[in-house]
Amino acid sequence: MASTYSRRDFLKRSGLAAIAGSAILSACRKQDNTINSEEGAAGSIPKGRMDYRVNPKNGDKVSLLGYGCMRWPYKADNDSELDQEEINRLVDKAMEYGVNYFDTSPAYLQGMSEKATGIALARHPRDSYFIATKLSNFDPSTWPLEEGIKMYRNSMRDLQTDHIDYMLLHCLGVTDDPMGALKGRFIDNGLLDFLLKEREAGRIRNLGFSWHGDVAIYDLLLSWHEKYHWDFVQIQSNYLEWNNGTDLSAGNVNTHYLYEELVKRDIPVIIMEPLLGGRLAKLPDHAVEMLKSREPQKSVASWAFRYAGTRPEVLTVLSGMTYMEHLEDNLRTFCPLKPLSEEEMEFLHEVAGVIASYPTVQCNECQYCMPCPYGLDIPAIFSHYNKCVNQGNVPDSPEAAGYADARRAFLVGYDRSVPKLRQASHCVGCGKCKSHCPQNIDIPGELAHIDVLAESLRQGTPPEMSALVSILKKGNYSLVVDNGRITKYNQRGIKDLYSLLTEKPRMLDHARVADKVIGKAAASLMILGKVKEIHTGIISTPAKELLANYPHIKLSYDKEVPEILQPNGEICPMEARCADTSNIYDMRQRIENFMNAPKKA
Amino acid sequence: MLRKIRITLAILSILMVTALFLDFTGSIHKWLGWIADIQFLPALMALNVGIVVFLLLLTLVFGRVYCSVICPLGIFQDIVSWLSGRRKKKKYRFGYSPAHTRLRLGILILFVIAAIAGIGSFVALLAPYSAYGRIVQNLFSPVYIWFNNILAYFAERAGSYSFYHRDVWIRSIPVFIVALVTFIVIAILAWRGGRTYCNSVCPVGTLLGAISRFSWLRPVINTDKCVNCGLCAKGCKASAINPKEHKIDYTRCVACMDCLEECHTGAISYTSKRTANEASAKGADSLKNGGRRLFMAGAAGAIGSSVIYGARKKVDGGLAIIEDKKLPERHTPLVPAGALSLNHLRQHCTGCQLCVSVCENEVLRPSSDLRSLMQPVMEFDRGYCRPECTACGDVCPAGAIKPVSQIDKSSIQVGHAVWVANNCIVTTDDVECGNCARHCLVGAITMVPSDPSDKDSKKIPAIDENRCIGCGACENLCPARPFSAIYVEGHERHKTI
Repeated sequence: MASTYSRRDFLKRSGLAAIAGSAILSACRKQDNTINSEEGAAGSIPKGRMDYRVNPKNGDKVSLLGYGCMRWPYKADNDSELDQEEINRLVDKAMEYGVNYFDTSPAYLQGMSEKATGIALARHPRDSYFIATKLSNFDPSTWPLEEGIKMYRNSMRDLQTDHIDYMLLHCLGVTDDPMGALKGRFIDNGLLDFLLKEREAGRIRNLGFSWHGDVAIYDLLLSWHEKYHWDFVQIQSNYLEWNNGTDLSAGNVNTHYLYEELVKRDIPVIIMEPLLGGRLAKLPDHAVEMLKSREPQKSVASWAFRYAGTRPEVLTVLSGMTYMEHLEDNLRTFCPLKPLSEEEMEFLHEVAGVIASYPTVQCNECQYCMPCPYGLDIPAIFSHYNKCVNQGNVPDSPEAAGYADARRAFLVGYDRSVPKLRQASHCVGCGKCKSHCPQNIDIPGELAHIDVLAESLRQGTPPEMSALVSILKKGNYSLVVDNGRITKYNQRGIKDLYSLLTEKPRMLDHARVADKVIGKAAASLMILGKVKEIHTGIISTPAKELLANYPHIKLSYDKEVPEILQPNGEICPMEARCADTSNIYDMRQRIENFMNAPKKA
Repeated sequence: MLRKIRITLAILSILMVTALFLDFTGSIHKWLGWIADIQFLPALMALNVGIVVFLLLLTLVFGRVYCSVICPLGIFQDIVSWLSGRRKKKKYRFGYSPAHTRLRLGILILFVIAAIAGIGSFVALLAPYSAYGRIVQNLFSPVYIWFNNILAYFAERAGSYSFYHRDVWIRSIPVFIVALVTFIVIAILAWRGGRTYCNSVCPVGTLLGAISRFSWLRPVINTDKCVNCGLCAKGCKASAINPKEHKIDYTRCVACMDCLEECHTGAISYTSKRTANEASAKGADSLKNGGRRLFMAGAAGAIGSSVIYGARKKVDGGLAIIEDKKLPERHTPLVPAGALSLNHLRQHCTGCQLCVSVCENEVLRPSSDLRSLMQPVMEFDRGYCRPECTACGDVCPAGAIKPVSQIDKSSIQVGHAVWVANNCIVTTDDVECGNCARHCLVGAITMVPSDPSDKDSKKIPAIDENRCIGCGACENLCPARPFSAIYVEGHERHKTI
């Protein structure tokens, strides 16, 4: 199949690109409204210039832009039926310009993706494209071997093919019990053995997996490489998570680790979520300005794709293109891809820092969490919230400039994008969504946060303490701080509080704080941090007595105990150390000594 | 000239009242609220002595100008009658007829008795301003909102937040039918006979008519100039001019000044010249009191399909179907803070629907109960009584719902929440929820273990009835469908806690 495309290796391509570039430049002297594709977001797309990467295992020439089939368009007047005609057009256009990798799954688009993709692809010669699909046997009812085989055969039928080019074990590492899920889905039932045999028989040409979430599972899977010989691995990678992954959500890792582990083992890498479900195309105003001031004519999204495609071990970069203009923009980026320089990569990491400083929810709108059994439209809620954060429409307090406009934009926009009955206020906190989220988002906690924000905007007041407490409890955090912006912490004991006070003391200044447990040490840190109001689930009597000396700090609590005990029944060491003093500076010194003391083995 | 002034004022007046009912944002009320406040019956119900005295004096000086330029129902009839008169050869379609004094007095007496006895539905049915309010709310407002929604559709596409979508929905089918029948009957009466309703049925018309008999200024026929052409009588929409006797029935004359312009010889003038009292009541054409009916209460039934609770999730995406809520059966109806008590509301409300029109959270709707038909009650299937909104009290012209501040509102108890174990998703779905407790504005709900002996058992809501104010947040946001697992029971008398 690959012979239908002229082979173009990296060097050749760059050379040709340079010649073509200068030719176009000279041809463009005449003034009219045509725009050169190298410069413009609306320029024509050069044909036959798609970048290809070679799969070292079998010589597959894979287009660097792969088509993710998770976001096909729905019919304009019916959002439960896919628009097959439009899908055909998209596929035709993509193939016309050299895209030859199509990635789907039995779970995508309420189960309709494979069929639609199959219909569109069957109109082209089978050797002109590669099909990637997955075993999406998430629900325990689909764990038995015969169910898995049924799903596999069904994929072949829907995709109208007798072989799958790239077969993935879908989304390993997510759920509450990733190890149990991995074993249940593939190992104990013998499904992986079955797939290995299918590979031997040639019906599966490449076998790999896609992974999110738990790093231990990732390391384990790679340690099995010797045994199973993964032909490729699909990971999430983008400039936001290359270095920042761990900061963004609890379970994520920095993607450079994932990538380097694969390079070490010579496993080809397939990149998913290069754009984080479009999130890297919709950036905060300031980040857009940074990108646009470098390349005013290039789309914001093009940076993310160039970032993903620059590294040479990448086989293909997947993008779920719903609209023709997205496809066209991406084709412009990949025909051919202009690799980023070291300096440009660094620049993007800088932009990543700016993006990460905005409190957006890390939702890629993949719909894995849906349907919510209580009818919420989770991705739409997050999308609206993120849009408001990025556009600066999440005002901190009624006194802030532009409060009225921002409030109206948030609330009117909220009702427009999400029907009232599907808004965050209806979340019961059952947590069924949480185990499906590949981004490890604490969905109920984030929804509670957005609900509190919407409620405070409706009332025109800053968020109330009770709201903060509901975030604490719903998200099961150990500490929630509200100083105009709400921040949540997870560590046990007073670690978070201590590092806040020493590293970011302004976070606590005049803040509302909701805490799970407050002993005397925590109380002293809060007093030192000049907090305004405290609510705690449990307070020790000494802490309460200490706080009574500072009546300007408003205190409320659910339960008082004589002293804070550790799970083993011993008194908390911090509480013990602070027992004989009521001098807060003294206590701070003792806490510092404790924190800096070398850990006992 | 006088006629032109009357017409100008009347048009301004009806536009203002109509705008008041159409404006669902409640923002116009700040500027135009007074036009509702000067309506006679609401002012009387609110014991607004200043306005009542002013209106009585106005009538004593100028005659029934109230009926011509302030009462929206009167102006509405004038418009219908004017349209009818534009047909060929129909301009002079009226003629003198004697007054139906017994009918008028009878209705007035019944009306007073009903008002004192607190039979709100009868009062609301006859109150002219309220009848007009119902017509606007039920019949005109949907058209206005549809138009707004078209604008909102374009605003959304233009990224503007200046217009937003509103639902068009019938709040109460019986009251919608009452409004429709009122509209048809009054329009037919006005089309054929001008001010028939005002001069035979309307209790305000009867009362003001009795006073205007003694008014200082009035149209008077100068028999010296009169040529007995009868044009004035044929053009009098109140059928109040007896051309043969050169007399005008001032109980029915609404001081519209049409006759002044009709008269070719200038024989009629609006002056202070006093003539003898000539009110008479002879003969009677039977007039029907319209085909009004009261309708039995019918809870707004909701057709819904089952929710896919706990549905197996095998594929990604899609939305669960949400079943509509059904209204719980409340032993005591719920009325908004500021209504003071069920009796107070019943006795003062004229059923004009202004509060219903401005209720942004879609809580208020006219009652379908016979005794309080058309008067507002609260239901929480579409929204709940939000703490920042005090619109209903702010707009009520009759003092049936007194204005309350946002701060006061949060401490007025209009009812209390009741938990229904069988409906709660802790029972039906075996999941923890606590959405009611999370959204309780006053912290009246605590989650307690369902099994008192097991601290870790699933938590269920426990309500502190003394703290609950009955705002309905819990009922509205309860995930149980079609019946909420927590609902609000009304209190007969509100209290501050």
